[in-house]
Amino acid sequence: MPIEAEILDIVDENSAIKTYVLKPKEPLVFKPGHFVMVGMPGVGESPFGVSSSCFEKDKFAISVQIQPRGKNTTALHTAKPGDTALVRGPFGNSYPMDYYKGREVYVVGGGVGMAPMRSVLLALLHESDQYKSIVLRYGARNPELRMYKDLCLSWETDKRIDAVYTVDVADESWQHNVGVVTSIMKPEDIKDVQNAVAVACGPPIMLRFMVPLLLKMGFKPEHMYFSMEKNMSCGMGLCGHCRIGTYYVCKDGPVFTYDQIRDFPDAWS
Amino acid sequence: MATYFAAPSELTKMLDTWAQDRPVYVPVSRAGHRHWSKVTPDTEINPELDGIRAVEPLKIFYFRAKECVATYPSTTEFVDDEPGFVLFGAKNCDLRGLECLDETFAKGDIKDPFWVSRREKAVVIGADCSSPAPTCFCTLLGLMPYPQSSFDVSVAVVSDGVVVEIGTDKGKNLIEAGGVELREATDEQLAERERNRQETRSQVEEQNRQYETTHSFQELVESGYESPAWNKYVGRCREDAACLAVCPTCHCFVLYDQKVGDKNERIRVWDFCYSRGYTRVGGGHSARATGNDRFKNKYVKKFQFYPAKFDMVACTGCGRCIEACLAGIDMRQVLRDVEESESA
Repeated sequence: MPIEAEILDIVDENSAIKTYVLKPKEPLVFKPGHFVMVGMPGVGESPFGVSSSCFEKDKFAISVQIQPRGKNTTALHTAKPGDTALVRGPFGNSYPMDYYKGREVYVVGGGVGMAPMRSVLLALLHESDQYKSIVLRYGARNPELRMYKDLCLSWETDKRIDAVYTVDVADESWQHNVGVVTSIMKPEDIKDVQNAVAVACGPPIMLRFMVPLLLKMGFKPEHMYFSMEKNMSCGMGLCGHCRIGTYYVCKDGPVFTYDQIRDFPDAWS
Repeated sequence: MATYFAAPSELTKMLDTWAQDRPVYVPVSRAGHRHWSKVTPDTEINPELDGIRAVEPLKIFYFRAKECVATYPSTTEFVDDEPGFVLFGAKNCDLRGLECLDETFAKGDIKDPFWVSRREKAVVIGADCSSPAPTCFCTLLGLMPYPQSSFDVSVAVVSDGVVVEIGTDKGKNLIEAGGVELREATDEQLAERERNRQETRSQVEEQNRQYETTHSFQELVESGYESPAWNKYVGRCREDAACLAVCPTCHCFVLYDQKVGDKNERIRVWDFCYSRGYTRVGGGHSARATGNDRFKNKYVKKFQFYPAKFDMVACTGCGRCIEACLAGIDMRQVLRDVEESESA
């Protein structure tokens, strides 16, 4: 059964994406990587990766990209603060943050895939002394379509994180790199790659190009963690929709290591 | 377990008695096909216990094609207030289908309350097969054309009546509630049942000789995923999903919400992995965008995913998919072709 959640705040990220801060009637205990089903009453529900810090206990955030003909995302985009949404979850597994402690963490975000990466980064920064280093490489299609612009700006001067940004197509305001996200991933970003972990979320085409690069940089397949986006309907391993190979993304994922899923074509197409 | 003998008149009496206070479904032929039909006390109905399975798989009774699974806002938990039903004449392929779906709906950490409740309340009476259809291939999967497990009672047609075997206490209680004092089956009747079983088994085995493979279906799907043998079927497949709708182990569904008055309903409806929108995500991307990916997906689910997750294949050899396919695609031949292309 879904539980009701009050929409506390709505932030416009760009022309297509809004971030919603939700306060559920019962607190949601989640970890970075978890996803939730969120919808408007009587309209439907859709899966979203949680994008806020797991250290905030009574509220959480999701980022919603409006979809053409998407009933639920359209309803969410017309909702106002104070409205009631419905929430189920959290579902799935999460990033093994404890395993990352003492290691260099290499975070790569592509487009709207930055949403779960935001949750990971906020958790990393919350205990930044526990990790050897925190690196972020974030790519978007153009400067307007970037998410979390203020947060990204603050990370530029934050000593705890090495953040580099790029866009596929720049405009005159853009001061950073131009090119796909793999163009800003360099072997010298990581010192001890044998023990480092890569954490990424993005469209399949980004993952396809990124995997050979990460392997070339020296990351171990079992140290490459990807958050897979699939069309979950139930979130409980019953409806069959999100299966890739021998896994259900909603139960066995959404976080998979490369060695788990490399042989399944539907993970990469 | 105990075995009894029932004459046709005794069977009819038991059916009528059960039908007084609960829904009873039996296989009956209509327009040349056998369908599950409800027994009503006023109409004469002759359950067909010989032959093969009905057109509809048993899952339709537990996992309905479309139903409301939640109404909100609501504070009440799920309550199943429907009476338990009796299925009289389920074949072994269908019983196996229930076992497959139990793995998904009843044995995980999150269960489907509808499935679990209906399974608990329902009483399933299995029946031996005879005169197998050309599409039957249970023996290729190591199954037998007679009830092996998951039945509460099983019946087998013999001369002048049926042999009744009790499988569970639930079945024993149902037989007792039938109001007929049954005699114990004789050795001759049991021997006749055994002869019939072996005869049907050899018929199924014989008609499937041409489809036998050296490797298991599971091995063929795992190692033969890139085989060119799939290609000749991809263009033929109409993606109408008829095979999936009649499959006793297909369980995919999609949820949607609708407003009804001042309430909202969440509806669950069967969904099929052969439809193009099945894997579509926000942004319009599909994980299985080509017909080739979608066609093979059924085989991956049944012969790779299910063995990896539940240590069983999700195919029972019922042959419904072959019978339903408008393009005349035969799963047995597809897998045979995959093996041939791999060994070539």
